[in-house]
Formats: sequence, structure tokens, C-alpha cells
Amino acid sequence: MGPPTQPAIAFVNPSVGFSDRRKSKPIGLAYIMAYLEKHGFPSSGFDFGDSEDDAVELAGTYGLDRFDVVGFSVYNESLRAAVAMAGWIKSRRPDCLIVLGGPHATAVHEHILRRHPCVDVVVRREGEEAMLELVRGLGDRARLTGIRGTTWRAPDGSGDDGSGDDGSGDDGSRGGGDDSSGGTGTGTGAVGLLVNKDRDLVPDLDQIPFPDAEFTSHSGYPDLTYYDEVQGRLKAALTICSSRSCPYNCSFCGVLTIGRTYRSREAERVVAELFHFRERHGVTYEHVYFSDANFFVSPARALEVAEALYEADPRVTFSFGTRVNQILKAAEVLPRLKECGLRFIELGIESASEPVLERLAKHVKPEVNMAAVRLLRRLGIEISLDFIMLDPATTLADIRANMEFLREAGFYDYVPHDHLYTALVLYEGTPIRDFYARRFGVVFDPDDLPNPFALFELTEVQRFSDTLRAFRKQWQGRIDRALAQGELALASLGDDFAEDGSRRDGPPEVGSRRAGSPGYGEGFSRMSHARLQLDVVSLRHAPNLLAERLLTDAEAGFPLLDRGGLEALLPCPGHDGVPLHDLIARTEAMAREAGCARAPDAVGPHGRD
Amino acid sequence: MQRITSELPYLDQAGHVYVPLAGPARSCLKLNRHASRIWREALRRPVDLEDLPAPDRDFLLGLTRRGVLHTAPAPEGG
Repeated sequence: MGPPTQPAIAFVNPSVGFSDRRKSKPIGLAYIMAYLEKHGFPSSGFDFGDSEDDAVELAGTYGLDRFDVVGFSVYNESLRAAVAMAGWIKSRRPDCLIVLGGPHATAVHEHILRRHPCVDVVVRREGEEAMLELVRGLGDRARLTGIRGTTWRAPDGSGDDGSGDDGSGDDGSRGGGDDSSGGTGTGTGAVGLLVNKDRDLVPDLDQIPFPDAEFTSHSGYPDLTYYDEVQGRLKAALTICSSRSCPYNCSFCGVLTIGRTYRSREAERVVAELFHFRERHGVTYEHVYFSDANFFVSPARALEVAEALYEADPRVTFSFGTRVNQILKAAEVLPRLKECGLRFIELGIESASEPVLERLAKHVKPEVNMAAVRLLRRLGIEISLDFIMLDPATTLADIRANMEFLREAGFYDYVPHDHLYTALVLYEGTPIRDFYARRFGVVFDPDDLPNPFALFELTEVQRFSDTLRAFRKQWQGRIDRALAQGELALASLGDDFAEDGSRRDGPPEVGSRRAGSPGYGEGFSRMSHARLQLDVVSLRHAPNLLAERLLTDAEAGFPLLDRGGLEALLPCPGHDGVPLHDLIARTEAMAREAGCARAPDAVGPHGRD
Repeated sequence: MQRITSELPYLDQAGHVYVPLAGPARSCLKLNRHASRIWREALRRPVDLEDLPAPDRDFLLGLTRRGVLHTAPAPEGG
């Protein structure tokens, strides 16, 4: 039977095993699918990224054995699910070509093919051009197995036995080395494998079509929004990737596996993509989340993009992620970016401890972190915090440095509180994973992601982490709910007052929900309003205060924790120092009193309830 | 000497003073570290406003004009 003239192609984002509330379409796969479509090869997309269902059941439910080619985008967390699906497909359709790609597959391409016979080929690094060659060449095995940027299981007896250089060390797929295609040619690698030379990274990103691809997803996608506090309204938001790679070499970053050669798109194309999806989806997107690994590599280019967006539609706002040193180096550009709609920057601070910053290869001192924060606060640009509270070699002194930084830099007011509970994840292909493997004298299984909360070298840090996580499990959800109610009530109350504090639209109507005190309606007083404001602030502080108390107790040998458990460490925050449980209950009660229910028939910015 | 008081409760936590209803549109105002220090000292004991540096005095008087703080002559000996 010859190859299909028009192969049935599927791309799958397998499950990482947990639900991600920030779920968005897998953009890498979307780009590949759009590229293939442009060249006459339509495909089907399946996104199971946040599914907690059995992988094989999902494969069966969605009929993944219907396809001639199935490509999986694989992260460290999703490899096992991908392999399970691939195994099921192969058992029912042996001639299906199973392709793995993505950062984890790139990092351990040889291991994958050696260990998992259900996988036919790994596409390393960027997948657009290699996948096109693959689908064009189906049926011509000799041609397929020579495609640059791919690794194959060799026919019996062929391929290098791996006793020479490992091609993966030269091709830029590990660490932060140069991206020149320095692979050592076909045939280098482990036993029975064909490791083809690296493919050049796509030099002109604007030759790749917009990532306009649809995915079948059992859970759907939440409408992406952004609440613009400056304009005082909720906006429909779109994620756009305007560049690839990052020239830096932070030791924990998975982008290293793809390569460090930075390429960016023209500003006009970024604007065109926004308008393309506005028309495609029938949604007036007015905030752009730039998902670039590092948007601010070239401040001049960043400004071009910002000005182009602003000229196209001055209502559009945007945000992006970058490093602290880049913020300081290009400080003069920031005010203009803000004028053009910059709302917040996701800042890769990661740690306030100098030894940790060195391990993470951030190449900045703690004071640079603080300087960047202060600059952005001075300019009125909000900060989204990237932080790694703990790594395996963390000491109590490192945690103390982190907490002092968070307090000094004003992050006790910051929500969500996720940054308090983070621990370094050792992704395959990153230098920090190799560092810890050597330090521990172990070999981490390439198929697995070591539990970041089970690797601490110091018992006191382990206990600190365990207790903090216990607090999160028992209290964070309640804090979050009370905060949401309190903030909603305060926002609603705030709508009634002008900038100078006077009431808008005259005195409240008799019987309205806030009559009573001067300027307020019945049932809610000025004193209640004041207390609600203070209680909301205290709830924001509460997890930080708990972490502080826990740290102090840890430094003293955990006397409080030993004597009274977590209860003994709970803070009594608030202007009147009430127990945390009472603070939560009081906030919820006052929010109800203030009336925080949403008006009926309200329509969101996407045009849906 | 003036005794300065706040009618509404305020929060002194995590190194800053938070003053409810004192910000734009009656939002909660977070005082910076210096202002927090001035606030604490002003409410701790009677203060002679004339002895304060002008910026600090203006800060307190501004809050007084807006009704956030209240001033009254301090009793003799206190």
C-alpha cells in the first residue's frame, strides 16, 4: 500500500497531569499546523494539556488511531502521557508515523528513541520546516530519515553505535552554547539511531503564518481577559508571540534546549496578527499578552511594536516578560512604552539571594532586582513576579533574603501568592538539572521530573517547605475566596466615588444598598468601608506574615511548630490583630453587607455572559 | 502642641501604614516608609507642627484638611 496522497495528520498536546487555570492554546503546535496548512497539509489539533483523565482513554475517545501521522509536543511533565498515547496508536495502527517534538523531546531525543519503540522520530528544536518535509516525504523512508533536525531509530545494523561524540552535544540542543548547526552529520549518536544534522533556526519569523489553528479540547478555553485598572474596564485579551529564543542562559530555563539565537517579528506583522484574530474570532481584543521568552531583548524593536499597536488602535494595552538588567539598561524607553499602552511587565527576579542567583545563572546581583522594581514602581508600571522561593540547596539564610526582599519591595501587597510556594523545577536539558545530578551523585530518569519539593538538602528547609505547603492547602483557598469577595465589594463601592472622594450622581437613594453614613447608602457605613479596605490589605499580607513567622521559628529550631503545630504560627493580622479565621469570616460578611453580587445579564468583553 | 488623632482605624503592617478612604476615590492609601514614620510619630504623642520639616508638616496638614486626621490642642503636660 503506498503512502496516502493527502495524509491525515494530528497534533497533540498531551496532559501534564494537572489542571492549569491559565490554559491557552499550545502555540508551538499552532504555528506548525498553520505552516503545514499554508503548504497544503491541513491537520487536526488536540489539546489535553490540563486533563487529568487517563491518556490512553483520551486517545481512544478522540480516535487518535485515525491518523497517518501523529505529532506530540512534549514537555518533561507530559512525556509519559505522550508515550502511552503513542503506544496505544501503534498497537492499532502500526504504520502510523509517531513524531515527538518540543523542548523535552529535543533535550533527550536519543533516550526517547532508545527507550520507547512506539516513537518513530523526534523533531528537534523548531518544527515547522522539518514537519513539512516529513509529511511531504511519507512513503520514502530513505528520504525521511535524512531530514535535517530529526532523529530516527535506524534500521537493524545501521547507524552509529554511539561510541564516538554525542551529536547532541554539538547541535545546541543542550545548554546555552552557540546555535550554529554544528552537528556532526548523519549517523552520529547512540546505538541504532540516526541523528541528522541540526536544522537552521527559522531566520525570518514573518515567513511563518499566524498561529491560526483550532484545537479539540475536552475542557475548552477560558476567555482570556485583562482588567485594565487605568481604563477601569475588563478587556478581551490575546496572546501573541513576537519573537523566539533568548540570548541569555539562565540555568533553569527550558528555552535553552531550543536555542539562544534571538529572532523577532516586524512590528507591522504583530499588528496584523491582532487584527487577523479580531476578525477571525469576532472579538475586539484590546490587550495583548506577549508570550515571548524575552520580549525586551531589543528595546528599539519593543518600542516599534508598541508604537505600531498604539497607532493602529490607541485603546490596545499590552504586557510582556523580560529580565531585570534589561529594564535598567533601557530605562529611557519605558515611559514611552507606557504611553503606548504598557500595563505590566513580568519580571524574572527569581531570587533575592546572591548564591541562588549564581546557581540560576541570572548574572545579576540582588540589588539589581530591587533597582528594577523601584524603577518600575516609580514609573507606575505594574510588575508580575517570577520567583523561585526554594531550590534544593536553599538555606534558611536564602529564604530570609527572599522574604526581606519581598517585604522591602512591596510584594506583601501582591496577589496571587503563588510565588511563596514555588520550588525550582529541574527540567531535562537545563544546566541546573545536570548541576544537581552531579551534586547528588545520581542520574535522574529522563522520563521523569523530580519532585521539586522532595529534594531539599537541609532538613530545616524541608520542614519549612512542608509546613508552608500545609498552610497553602488549608488556608490559601479560603484567603483567595475572601479576597475576591472583598475586592469585588470594594470595586463596586469605589465606582460610587469621584477622584476627589465626593459621591458621583448625588446622594444614594432611600433603600439602596449603602444608605446610612453621609455619602453612603443604607446598611453600610463609612466605618465598614474603612474596615473592609484594611481587612483586604491584611488578607493580602497574611500568607507572607505566616511565611515570616515560620522562617523565624525555623531559625530558632521550630519551637512553636513543635509545641502547637501550624496553628501556633498563624498570624493575627489586621488593624485589630484578629485571628486569621476571624479575619476571613469578617471580610466575607462585610463584602456581603456591601452587596458584591454581579448585576444580572452582564455581558463580558468577549460578548458572552 | 497638637494631639493628632485618626477617627478611622488604620493598619500598620509589613513596614507601612495603610490609611483607609484617604486615597483617590476614597481608596486605601499606602504610605511610603518616610510618611509611615511621620504618621506613627504624630499619633504616638503630642506634636508641635511648627517644629516639623515643612514637607512633613504639609503632609500632616493635608491629611487634616481632608478629614483623615484631626488635631486638637494637647492638654497641659501631655
